[in-house]
Amino acid sequence: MRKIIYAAAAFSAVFLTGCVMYSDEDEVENPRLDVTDMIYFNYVEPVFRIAELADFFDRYQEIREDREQAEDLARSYFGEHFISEDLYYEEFSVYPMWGKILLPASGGEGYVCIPARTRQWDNLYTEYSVKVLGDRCYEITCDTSDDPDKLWKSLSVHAVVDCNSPDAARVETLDVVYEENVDNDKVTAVVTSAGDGLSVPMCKDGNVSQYPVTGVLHFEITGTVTDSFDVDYGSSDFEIVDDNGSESVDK
Amino acid sequence: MRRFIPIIFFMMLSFPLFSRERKELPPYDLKKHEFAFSGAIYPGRYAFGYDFDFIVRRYDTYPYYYSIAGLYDDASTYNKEKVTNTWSLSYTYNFTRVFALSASVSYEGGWNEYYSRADNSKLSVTECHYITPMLTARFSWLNRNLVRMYSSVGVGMAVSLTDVHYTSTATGWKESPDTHISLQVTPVGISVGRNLFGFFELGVGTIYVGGCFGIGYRF
Repeated sequence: MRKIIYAAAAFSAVFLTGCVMYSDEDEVENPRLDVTDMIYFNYVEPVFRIAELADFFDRYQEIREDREQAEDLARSYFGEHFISEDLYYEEFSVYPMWGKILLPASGGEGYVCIPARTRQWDNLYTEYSVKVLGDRCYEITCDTSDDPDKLWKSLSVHAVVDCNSPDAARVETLDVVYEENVDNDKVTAVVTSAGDGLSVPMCKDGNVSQYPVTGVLHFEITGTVTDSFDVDYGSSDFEIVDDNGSESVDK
Repeated sequence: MRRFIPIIFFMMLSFPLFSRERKELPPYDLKKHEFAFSGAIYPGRYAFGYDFDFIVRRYDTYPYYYSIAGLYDDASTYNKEKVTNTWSLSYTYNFTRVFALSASVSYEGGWNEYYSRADNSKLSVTECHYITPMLTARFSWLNRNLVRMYSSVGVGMAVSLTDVHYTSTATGWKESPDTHISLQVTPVGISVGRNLFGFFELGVGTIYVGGCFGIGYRF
């Protein structure tokens, strides 16, 4: 009889330890952080890399006859990532972080830039136009309305970046409009630089700064999902801020 | 070194003086038949990952999980994975005191449930259930009437009660239950008892991972 009682107790223990093996019920979900990462790394950060490429390429055009001086300039920007064989009069590419910049085929002013970062894991490269405003200031735009993935998302970017400061590129204006339409769930995210304090250290010797060190990006999400918040950048972290408070995130 | 040799020689000669007479063990009582019922805490198929046959929620579809709407949707839910543990019934035929063959049937099931964070209501669920017939060879390396220790290895076929497999035929698609090869290795098992016995095994495989224990009857 005692054996049966022991066995029944053992089986009951096994049965009770079954049930829930995993649950993420207690995990803290933060869709704002997910959206910030998605929008920032896919559509905002490429603007900074384009500004660096454009700043180098524009200065390079003035000295391109002097190969040695040109290569020194390239190394001062891109360090060990620079490969001299990839530097031509009409075209320059540097990977993995920046991409390709070239003179427009039509012979017009400015440059065409294709950042190394593809759009959201789709291996779709986005083509940006760079207009030189003078005094190392660049207007960066793109419109993807004729992209192959226009069926479910589109992107429009307009930014003006001033690279004349010795320490950091200063964003004078930044407007990113991202639209998606998944099974008629339409969402528009508009990301703008709030004020003129958004600045990102320029790449130097191949070292890049992924995030701004000062300034605020404002996120306005409308459609199926509605949300509004700011991302306030500091030197070592950033804060996601709304009317109810803020949450700090390490960079 | 040379002076130690006589001491060692003396000690070797003196061993028989202190050794006890070997106790005669009772003759081994070989029972040919065994029935057993067992349970394991960590099911094997769950441990190696269920292949849930259908999409449980919209977030898992492309391109929804790349979208802002999908990210907010994902954050608004949580999931729970539940299992039944593994339960087995077996019959064993002991050919000799060392070698035995077992035929067993095991069951395990699991559910993946999604809930709303807002009100904890269940939004969707997917489930897997497996029946696994298995043939196991068992080798006993310690045989006493009360305690036996053994190792075993088994091979079988897990049949899914929920997933289906499609094959193309001349008349169209044919639907059949999804099947998987099943293997179970038990390096160490111990059973205690005579006719009615309890046992505990440590093993790894698609029946269970970790420990398994049960009760049985041999005759």
